[in-house]
Amino acid sequence: MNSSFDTAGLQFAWDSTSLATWLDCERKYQLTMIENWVPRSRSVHLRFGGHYATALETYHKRRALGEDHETALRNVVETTLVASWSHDRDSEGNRISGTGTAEEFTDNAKTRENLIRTIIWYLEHYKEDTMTTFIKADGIPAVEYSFSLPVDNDIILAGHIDRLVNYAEGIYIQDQKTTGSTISAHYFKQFSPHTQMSLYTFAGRIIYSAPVKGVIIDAAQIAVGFSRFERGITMRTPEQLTEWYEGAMLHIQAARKATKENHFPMRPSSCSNYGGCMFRDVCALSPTVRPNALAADFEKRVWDPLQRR
Amino acid sequence: MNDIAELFARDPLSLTHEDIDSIIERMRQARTQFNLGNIRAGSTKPSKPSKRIEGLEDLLKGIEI
Repeated sequence: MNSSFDTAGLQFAWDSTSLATWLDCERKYQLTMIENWVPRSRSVHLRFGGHYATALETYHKRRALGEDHETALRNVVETTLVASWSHDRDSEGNRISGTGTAEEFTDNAKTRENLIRTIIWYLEHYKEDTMTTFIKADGIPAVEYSFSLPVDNDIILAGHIDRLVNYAEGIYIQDQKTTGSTISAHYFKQFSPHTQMSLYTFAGRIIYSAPVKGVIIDAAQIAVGFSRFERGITMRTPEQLTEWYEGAMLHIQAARKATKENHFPMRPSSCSNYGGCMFRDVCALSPTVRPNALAADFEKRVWDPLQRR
Repeated sequence: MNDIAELFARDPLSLTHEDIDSIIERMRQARTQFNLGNIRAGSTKPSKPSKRIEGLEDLLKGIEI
């Protein structure tokens, strides 16, 4: 059951992942959001990035609550080591000591050891950072915030903001990215226009009642022997945000109409994006054999934008 | 298996604070070595990342949205 869909089977809660999927390809939206197909093995890049972002969120939360650097660092190293180990669980879901193995990362650079290295090196690199966590009016640091924002036509925009920060006399959302490539000015160009960055800036301004200017992206290059960091920023003016919002609402209505009519054509121009769509091999087959191919290489897992992390 | 590989191979629930500190220390040493490697490559300039951050901050301070 996906709580982001209404009783008619139409999606009303949208996050950047589902909206970007729709914009990528209607068929991809059908396979992932309507039919819930995902690859059997979760991408190493998603797992590595997930552990990394969680560790840094936890560190910043602890620091904002007054913990010193060394204590917070030790804590996130310890919790990330545990999180990346597949223990057996008891009946209450607790980890059983002495069981399981280390999570396997099938990548030369994005390994468990390099995950810990990257966390430590990042926090050393930005140890004297002038960026500080934004403290909300209720005194709580703005870290790890899952939002759901009601907008027009009974639509909800949802997402997860890593951290809101004060930086260079402005307020920004901070987001962490990892990549295997060298980080250049060209790397940061991909974030404008960009669905996630526009949605987060749009939502951040309303949720926090603060003049959020854009998103600061701390990018980490993960290589076999080192991790390197660069900071980039993508800004949005109020006019850009209005333009993005109006476009997003039109796309959402189009997706709901397509769902109602069960009409999801392929968009072949997207098949080779980002190293190739995960469904490319399936879509390349004759329609009658696609169900078997899906069942062999994919499994059903619901992506629910309203599910809090 | 070297020291650090042995620590990573161990059930993390059995690691002590000293073990965690040892991992952190080894990673810090590796970072120092990496940075020293850059200096031996011939650059006497300050490291690029801190220069970029200062430049970015100065740039942002003048922008009104």
